[in-house]
This record gives sequence, C-alpha cells and structure tokens, in this order.
Amino acid sequence: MGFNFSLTKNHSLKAILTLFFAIACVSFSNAQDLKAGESLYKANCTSCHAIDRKVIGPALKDVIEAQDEAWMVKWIKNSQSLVKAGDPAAVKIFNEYNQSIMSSFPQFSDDDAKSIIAYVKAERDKPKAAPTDAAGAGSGANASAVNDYTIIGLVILIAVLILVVYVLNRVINSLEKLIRINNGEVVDAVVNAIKEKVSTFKWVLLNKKKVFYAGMLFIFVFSIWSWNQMSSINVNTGYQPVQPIAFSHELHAGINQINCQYCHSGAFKSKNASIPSLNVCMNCHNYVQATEKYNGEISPEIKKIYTALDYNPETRIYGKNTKPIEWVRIHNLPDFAYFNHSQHVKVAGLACQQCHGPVEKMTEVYQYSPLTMGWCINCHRTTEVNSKGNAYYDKILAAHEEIKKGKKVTVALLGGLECVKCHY
Amino acid sequence: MQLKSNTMKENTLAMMKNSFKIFIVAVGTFVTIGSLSSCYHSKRNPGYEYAPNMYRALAPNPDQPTASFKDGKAAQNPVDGTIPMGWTKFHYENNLAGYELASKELVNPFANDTAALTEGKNLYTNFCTQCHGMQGKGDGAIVVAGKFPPPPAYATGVSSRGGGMKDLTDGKIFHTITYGVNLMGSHAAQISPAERWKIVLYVHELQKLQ
Repeated sequence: MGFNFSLTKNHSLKAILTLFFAIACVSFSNAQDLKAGESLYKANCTSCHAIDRKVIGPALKDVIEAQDEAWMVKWIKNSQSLVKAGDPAAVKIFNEYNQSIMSSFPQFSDDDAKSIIAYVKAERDKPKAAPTDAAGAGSGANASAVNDYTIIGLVILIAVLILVVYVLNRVINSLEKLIRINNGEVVDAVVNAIKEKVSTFKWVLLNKKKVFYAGMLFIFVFSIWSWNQMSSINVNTGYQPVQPIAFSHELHAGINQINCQYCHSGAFKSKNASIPSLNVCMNCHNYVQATEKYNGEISPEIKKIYTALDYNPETRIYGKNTKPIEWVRIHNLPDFAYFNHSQHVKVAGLACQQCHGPVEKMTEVYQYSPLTMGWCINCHRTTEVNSKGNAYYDKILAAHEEIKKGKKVTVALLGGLECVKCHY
Repeated sequence: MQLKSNTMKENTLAMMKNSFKIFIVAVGTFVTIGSLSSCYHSKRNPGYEYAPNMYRALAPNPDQPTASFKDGKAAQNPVDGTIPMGWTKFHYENNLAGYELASKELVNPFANDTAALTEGKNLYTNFCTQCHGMQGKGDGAIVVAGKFPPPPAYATGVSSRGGGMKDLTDGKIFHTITYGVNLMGSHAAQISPAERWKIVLYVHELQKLQ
C-alpha cells in the first residue's frame, strides 16, 4: 500500500476505503468461487479424480501444474474435441490413460470450470497436517506376537516371584534356627515339631465327621467344576482369534452400513456364507485408503490387501506375486453336522444377527452362539414354517389335506417316485 | 525380660512362616488353576477338543490351508476359461466398443414380472445400495458419510460414457455390473449372470423415478 503515502490525508482515507472495499469484494468473490468450485468438484469430478493422487484419471495437482487455465477449461468442457483436434498435450494424456474418455461437461460455463480449477488450486496449497507419531499404526500387525510375549513374560514373572518367596522363607527359617540355637532350644524345637505333626494326625482321627464333610464338599465342588469343564469341550463360544488384518465389522457393517451380504455373497445362495475374496475389498479400497488417519500414508491394514494382491497404489497395476490372506476360522461346525446358510437366510429369512450376534458392533468378531445341537434344536422347536410360496412344502401340505379327508397317503404322494430317492 | 521378648520374637516369626506357607499354597493354586483354565479358555483359544476325527472333515476346508497342494491353498483357481454351472460366458470386451456392442445386442432374458422384480430389488438392496442408494440417486450410506464419491443418479445423472443415466440400456447396465466402470469395481464374482439381469430389471424401474 506504499502508493498511499504521497496522497493527502483526505485522499488517502478514500483510497484506503476503496482498497479495503476492493479486497473485500475480491475475497468475497473468491470465497464464492471456491464454494461453487467445491460443490461442482465433489458432484462431478471425484468419481475419477483426486487432487493429490492418481485415481481413474491423473492427480489434479499435477495437471494444473502442467497446463494453463484456458487449456484446462477447454479440456473440462469437452476433452474429446481437444484430442480430435490433435492438441499434443491432450493426445498424450488420452493415450497415457488407456484412451479412456473423460466425461464432457458441456453444461459448465467457463466460470464454472474456472471455479473448479480455483478450488483444486486452493486445496493443493492447503498446508498438510503436521506429521505426528504414528506408533499405533503397526500395533494391529503384531498383536498375536505381543500376546505370546505377554504370556511368556507373565509366566517368567510368576516364577521369579515364587523364587523370591522361597528364598525369603529359607532366610526366615535359618534366622529362626539361629534364635533357637542362641536360646539353647534346638532340641525342644525338634520335639515340638514332631508333637505338632502327631497332634495333626490325632485331630483327623478325633474329628472324622468334620473331615468327612470337608471331603464331601471338596468332591461336590470338584464335580461341578469338572462338569463345567467337560461341557465346554468342543464348544467355542466367545472364541475371538487375532485375524491377519484388523478388519472391523463395527466400522464396515455398523458405521458404514454395508450390507452383510455384499461381502458374504454366498449366504443367500450357498451352503457357505463365504469369506470375501480380496477383489471384493478392492471394490471400495481401490479408492478408500484412510490416508487422513495416517498422516497421508495409506493405512497399514489396507496396505496388507495391496501387498497380498501385489497391487501398486501409485500405478494402480496388479502384479503376479499374490499371496492369500490367511483368515482364522471362528465358526466351525463338526464334520458330522450339515448346515446350509441359504436355507436359513433365504427360505427362513433369518437375520444374520440371530445366530452371529451383534456383528455390526464387533470391532473384532467372536463366536456369539454356542453352535451346539441343543442350541439348534431349541430354535427348530419353536420356529414356525413359512410354507407360503415355497413349492417344497406343497406335497407335505397336500398329504395333510388327504389325511384330514380320511384318505390314504401313498409313498408316491410324498415324492416316493422321485428318481433320486433310490438312484443317488 | 530377655526370655519373654525372645519368645515373642519367635511367635511373630512362626506366624510369619505360617502366613508364608499359606501365601505359597494360594499362589500355587492360583497359578495352576489360572494356567489350566486361561490357556484353554482364553478368547484367543477355541478350547478343548474331543474326538477331533469326528469334528474335522477329511476334505480340505476351502478357506483354510492344506498340505495337498504345492502352494498350500485349498481353494485352487479353476482352469482358465472355466465357466461355473448356470453361468454363461460374457463375450463383450471391457472397453467402449464392447460396451456399445453389448448395448446393441443384449436383451434381458427375464420378463418384467413381480417375482423377478422382487428378487431384483433384494439383490439391488444387498449389492448396490451402499453407493447408489435405495432409490438409485447416488446417495448410499458410504456416499452420504463422505467416504466414497457419489455415483451419478439413475434418473437424472449423466453417464461418463455418454448420454443420460436414464437412457442406459439392458446391455450397458449388464456390462457395467460385469466389468465395473471408473471407481465401480467388477461385481461378476459376487453376482451371477441371472442375478445381474434381475438387478438390471430393477435399475430400469429406478431410472423412471424423478
């Protein structure tokens, strides 16, 4: 504002006011631009572009660096016309991205396009969050190792404690002996000890009833304990193993409200609910990288998916060196029991939560139901069959009608003529 | 006086010795019970197993490792070009030409009846609503939460491959579900061709919404 200094006081006041007004206007219109740009950007660009990384199209911060605004406006409004006109920069980008066509936006005015560019520039220039210690990042990865070490550590600690107690006890013993020797009571002490032992034995003989009841009590408590122990054999309720990826069902199914069957897509049509293969993860995680939680780095848990798929998030290319994720199975029915998910999900229309519990609130999944035979049967005893619109039950219902009429029910009526009844 | 204080000392020492004995027994019991029960009943351990040969299948579990194959995977990839039962091969390529060709040639084999449409709606709810929203407006839960960019609305949006979303044909929608487009991934692994066609039916209904 150096130019004000030579003016008279009156003039300078006017000039300052004008300048202030002008700045206010500019910043106001800038804010308007940015806001309009932001909403246009979010509605039209984000499905293919991000500002600081390559998605379907290039990172926008690089593009606005390389091209001038006029070119950008033309490209945004109709990129194909630029390519067809043989603009070298346009042809180069077009070929670089496998000739995939960017949507044209003829409905945008020049100002619309400029406000988008202004928004992208403003976002690019925003200072990045200061890096902080991301110590928590790797904790999930080593959870199982840490767990083992804690157990070993605890055992060692307990052993050391017992040793300390033992040594202290020895020290006290010898101190005691020393006092007795000093008092000349060594012989007495030995005799007393023997007497003590004899008196304990005598006490047992004299109090047979008490001993008997104590024994009964012990047997009773021990039986209850062992009964409980035995009935938990092969029942894994509460089993919550550490999984290779700290996948949170609370985040995915609870907060993000992703339908269970989006990932477990076998549940309604197959015996097995199926663990999703990694391509299902990639339907979202080719974009979602949770970088905002890890100082701009890709989340270490999401990185595990990329490593397993040998996927390079920079170039978005899949390699050949793939490795399966070894999920730990939680729900495990014995081999002698047949269970079919589709029968329960599709025919009975049960919610997943009825057997699996509040999975949408579990950060780490555990076995909610005991999966014992009694548990299955208790539900089958009370669940009413919905036979409407289900051809499977037609014959059974027809047979009951026949019985009600007092007619004979033949084997054929119950499907006894089906080939597979004999030839399976 | 001297004697008395000595016996007192002795008594206290004897008491201390007793309490140590009790302490050791208590700690011992605690450690034994603890190690027995905690090892087998911690949430990280599935617990005791009896008669495992009745519980564990002889056949390898498809989602668990097996020693039968070199790479240790029970779920081996089928031979290249395998078509699952009930599936048909999709002959159109994953590019603009294939997309346009599918649009020209493919017709939904399912008639627009209530049964197919209801099933289409169920499938759409399970597989599409997280992004596209219940009414196909591009307002699914993860979009509203700002975690994923919005897809164009079926009724009012503009397709990135030209034209309005409301004019998408059978073949175009089927091609998109099969291969994905832009940020949408391929859903061919999750949804069988017949299921895809039922979803196409329902998407056509959503295109009519205004």
